[in-house]
Amino acid sequence: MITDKKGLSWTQKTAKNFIKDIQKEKDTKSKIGWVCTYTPEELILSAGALPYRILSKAPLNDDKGYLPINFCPFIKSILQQVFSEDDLKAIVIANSCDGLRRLYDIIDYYKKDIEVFLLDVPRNTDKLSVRHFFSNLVRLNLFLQGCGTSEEAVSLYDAVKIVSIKKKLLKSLKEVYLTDPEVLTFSDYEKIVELSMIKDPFMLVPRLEGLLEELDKKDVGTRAGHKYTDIYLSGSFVMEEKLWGLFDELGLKIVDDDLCSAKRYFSNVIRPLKNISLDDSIMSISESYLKKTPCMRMADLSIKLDEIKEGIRKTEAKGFIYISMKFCDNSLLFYPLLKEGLRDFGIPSLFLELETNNFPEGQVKTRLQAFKELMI
Amino acid sequence: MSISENIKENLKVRVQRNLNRNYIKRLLRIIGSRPVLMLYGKSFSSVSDEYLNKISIKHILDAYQEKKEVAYSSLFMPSEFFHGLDIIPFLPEVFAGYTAGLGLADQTLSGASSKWFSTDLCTFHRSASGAVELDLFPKPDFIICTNLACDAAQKSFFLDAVKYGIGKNYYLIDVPFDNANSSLEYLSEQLKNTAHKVSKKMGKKIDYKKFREVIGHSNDFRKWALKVNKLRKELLDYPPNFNGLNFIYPFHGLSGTRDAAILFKKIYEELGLLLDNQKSPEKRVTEKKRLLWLHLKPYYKNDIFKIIGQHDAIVAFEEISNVYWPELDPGDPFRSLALKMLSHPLNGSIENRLRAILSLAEFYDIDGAIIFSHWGCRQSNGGSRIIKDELSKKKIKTLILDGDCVDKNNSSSGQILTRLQGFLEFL
Repeated sequence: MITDKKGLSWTQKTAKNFIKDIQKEKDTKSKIGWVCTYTPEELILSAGALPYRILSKAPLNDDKGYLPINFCPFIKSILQQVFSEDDLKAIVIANSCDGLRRLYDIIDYYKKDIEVFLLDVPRNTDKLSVRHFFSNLVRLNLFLQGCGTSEEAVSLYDAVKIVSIKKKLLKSLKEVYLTDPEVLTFSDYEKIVELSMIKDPFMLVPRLEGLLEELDKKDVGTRAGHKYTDIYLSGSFVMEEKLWGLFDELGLKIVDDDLCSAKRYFSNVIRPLKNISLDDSIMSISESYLKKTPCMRMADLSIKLDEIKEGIRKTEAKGFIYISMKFCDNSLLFYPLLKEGLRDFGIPSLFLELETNNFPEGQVKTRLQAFKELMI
Repeated sequence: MSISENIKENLKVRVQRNLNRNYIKRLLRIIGSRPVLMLYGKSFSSVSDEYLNKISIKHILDAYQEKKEVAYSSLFMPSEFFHGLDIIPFLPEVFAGYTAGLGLADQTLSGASSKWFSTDLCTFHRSASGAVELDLFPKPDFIICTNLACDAAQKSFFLDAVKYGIGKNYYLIDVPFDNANSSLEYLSEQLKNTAHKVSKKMGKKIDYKKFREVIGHSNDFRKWALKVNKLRKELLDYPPNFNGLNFIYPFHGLSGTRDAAILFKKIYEELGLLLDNQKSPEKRVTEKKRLLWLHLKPYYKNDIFKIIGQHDAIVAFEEISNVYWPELDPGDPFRSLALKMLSHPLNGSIENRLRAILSLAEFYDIDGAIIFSHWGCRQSNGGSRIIKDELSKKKIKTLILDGDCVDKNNSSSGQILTRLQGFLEFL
């Protein structure tokens, strides 16, 4: 394999340059923040704003004591970011868990200079629930249209179209990683997914198409000499670059990333339809989002379990890693079921309970190394 | 130690030594038999405590007898729904409190840990799940729960459904965030659809006459509970061992039964006599600091309420005893029950809870509030700071007391008492 001084292949260098370029791009639109993947960015985009996922990358050092000590650190970080960012026009919080509901209350109570909308998301997926979610989305749409960002407004059709293209491209990107992690590392793939949640899709999509074309030209025999262990990854929100780096370093190939910061973000692709009413368009969004790859918050956990089992079967993963955010009731309460359900497979599993931006790298590395040895 | 305390201690030891469902059933049968129950009843220090214990034993025994269908339900699912369907509701969260009271929590929590329940989770749900794991609770035919107030109930109950192989009989009533008209429709439709499905599985049709009767009892219970709450505005002395936080089971699990209505009528009569006595000219009344208790209390033996009494303070009212819902319409049960659920102050935004708390603080002329911050209860603890700040605007001091309602080992009793004493002195 031809590599540069840092040991990077030219495809890896291309991906890294792409990331740098996208990071440099200035946001021209007003940002409307969102936190949970049950929030349709299509509606934010059509209102003329930039759907901006609050990823809370800064270390948690000033949560102002609004929340108790044993509370989701991800939510605390979001709170910190919302209080420190001054360019958010509004924020949409999905009623996905107790923690997010209280996050909404705290922002609404203490941060008076920002508009905040609570999007109620049903936990069932039957017709009645889809209809109820539809009426909540109609209200969200009205809220967004009133946010004063209409100069850049696009039709909902165009918004649905660009988001669906973006999600398809992210799926293709994942395929590139799966085909050969030497072409695109897991770290870079995750970084691009992250950027796709905060950058303007109208700017990102053509560039992402370009990147995929570049990566497709790979002509290096990269696979030789590399052995990967296939891992199925599932869990709650994780955006930990050091962890992705460890997967790459230890040769753990993530054959599926069932995380709300990865697959669960781009799994649902809506077919854009011209000449349909606004209501029909919102109804298709309602259906698509409510029935997307489920989060552990949804009522019927057997659907989630079956999906994971099927995923393991299909990918023939050799190991399973489950990551839960500390104090995340929904993911912690799924684990007993998951643990029992995985028994039939006879593959080793590893449970990691993590905190946002407080990653115990050395400890996790040791555990991952030991875990890998189990599979060899 | 009084006779009733002796009996209770004895029962505790017996259950601790024979930790299984059949033994609990047998024990309930013995103490639930008329002569024993009469004798046992006499040992209680107040009429309301006696009746509370009698009807609790009767209804818990019903659940263990398995003569009728049993449904596990979460605390805020209106029990009228079950009584109307002629199903016995069993509330694992409430009985998790009993596991603490009976000194079984160490075993039940350990049972949960062995099944991969994280110690970061709420101990009500962990202890209940552990009890299910140890086969201490009655076997359910259905699990019908709600996400009203908290996430953990619906999740832990789903695991129970899997454990008993009744995944198809698990229903989550999804309570919408606000109480707009569309939310009311959505919720009442869910209740109605679920009632139809469950009735069909039992080979029955919905008996609207039965629902009318149950709603009638519920309204009767509501009427007496409101009277009790009104009377407590002035009351300074309670019967021995009286604690509003002990009535959670009848308040939630027996609402819609005649027993709950009778119990609250008895409480009203008993407290009414005390109030008359308090108002008599010859009675010297000591002024007391009036506290509002928010969230729940520890259900294992503790000195919190003794300390409160020693500092010339009383719990004038508890958030959990609030009658928050309007009178129900017997002719439209599902819509009424939906409205009851949507009226719950713990549903939706913290504003709903704040509104209820402020109104209680004003009505009961509260001097200080105590938020018992139960470990792992995100929905309640996440709102504590706002509650404290809002009460402070009304010049009401608030103590956020960190502890655990179920696991005594996760609660620092020394720290709790020091902080409580400091707060009471400060008041």
